[in-house]
Amino acid sequence: MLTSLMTVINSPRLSWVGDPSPLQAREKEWYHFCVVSPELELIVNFNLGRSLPSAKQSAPVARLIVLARSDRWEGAVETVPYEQCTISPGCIHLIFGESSLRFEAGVFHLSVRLKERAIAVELRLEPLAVPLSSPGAQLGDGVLSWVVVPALRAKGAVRLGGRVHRLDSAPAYHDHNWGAWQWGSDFAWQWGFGLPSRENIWSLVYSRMTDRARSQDFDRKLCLWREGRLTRLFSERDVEIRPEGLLRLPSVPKFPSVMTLATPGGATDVPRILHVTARSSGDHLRIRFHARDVAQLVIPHETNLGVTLISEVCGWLELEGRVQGEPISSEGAGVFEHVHPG
Amino acid sequence: MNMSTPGEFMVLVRHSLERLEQECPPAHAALRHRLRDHCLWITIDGEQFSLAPVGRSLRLSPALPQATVELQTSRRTLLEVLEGSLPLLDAVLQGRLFLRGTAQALIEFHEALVIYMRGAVRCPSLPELLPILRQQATLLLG
Repeated sequence: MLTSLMTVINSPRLSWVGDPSPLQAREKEWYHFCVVSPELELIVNFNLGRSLPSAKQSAPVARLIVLARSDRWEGAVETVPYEQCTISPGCIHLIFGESSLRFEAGVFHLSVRLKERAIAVELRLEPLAVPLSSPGAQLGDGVLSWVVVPALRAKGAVRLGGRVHRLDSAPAYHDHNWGAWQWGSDFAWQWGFGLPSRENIWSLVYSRMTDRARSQDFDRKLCLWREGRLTRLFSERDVEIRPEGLLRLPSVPKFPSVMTLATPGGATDVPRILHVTARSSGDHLRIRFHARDVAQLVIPHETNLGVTLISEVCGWLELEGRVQGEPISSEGAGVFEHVHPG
Repeated sequence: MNMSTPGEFMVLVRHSLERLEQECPPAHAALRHRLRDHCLWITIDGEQFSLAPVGRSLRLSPALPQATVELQTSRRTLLEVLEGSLPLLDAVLQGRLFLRGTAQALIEFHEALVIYMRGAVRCPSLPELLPILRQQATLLLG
């Protein structure tokens, strides 16, 4: 049941063949995975887009993004020649050079080999929750749609340089995003998930789409799953957000590393604690996300010479409240993403 | 080094600026604008040349100018800075990259560097020059 549902709603949505229309030239799509084990936090992203407007022709561009944090951040953004890529329609099977992602017999199989860094990932990720799909949310003058699987169980190995991290039943998260927009347009977003560890019952996803100044919200959601089933979805005015302080670190690693010189400085606008409170129809939920460490992905704008910074923030999440009469009190690891033009 | 003929590194910089102009004209224009009051005197592994905006171009010359900013470093250090493994500030503090100019001139040079990098990452053909720089650095280490 879950296998067929996943295939139907989570297969690639966009076509990357043929000459794109002006709207298609803005299209983007990616499959994103996070693993949050005590010894390793890992982000893997199979990413599809188009060449920047400065290129002579709008050609598909495939990138593999890997960020890993053990005692320090490591990672890379590697472009894979598109002729070495296969995106199979109607199923989840992507081949990016020597790396691949496929969904088979109810399990995601992730195999990543980077060329320029000694990083390799071999993981089986078993979904533990029913996916949630959202139609397009406004993103500046564009639209972003998504499917999210808030809880998975990861098993396998991750090689970072000379070290091999073996994972068994590590908590994990997955989303699939697609849409048409331009980096540099008038938008920002916050996105996060929490996998409270106590008794492994609850998982949650938070999203907030805003304009660049974060003065106008396009979309707010706080979604809660209980034992893999969506239990409660708070949205829009039911969700209040309050940042507290700013995360300050001696330095912030940037990826791809060549963008370090293009985005000097280590200051971020990542809140030290993000408070999210949701209340509706007698239910209430309160989360506190304590940011611990951050790495930034740097994306050149399509609209000007600026860049957008995607801050991937590792941290700890506290969750409490009462939903459908059941008291909730839990805590666990999470990753929050803050996207903002730099 | 014969100072009247362009050295290997100056040729590489010339190629990169030509590609920047062709493939990302807004970055080339912004770079010219940022450097409008400046002339850079660059020394890389002993090779010396100047860089200054002249009209709608950025002119490279082995002639010694009235420089507002002097930069002295090696290809090896430059590669580490470009690839992000060595922060620019660390390169300066470790004595691997020498900069001289007024505070304002150095700030504007840094801004020019950021503009150059933001343009460079938008140029499809510019990454082709990086292996040449690596090869030159390796040959020098010999």
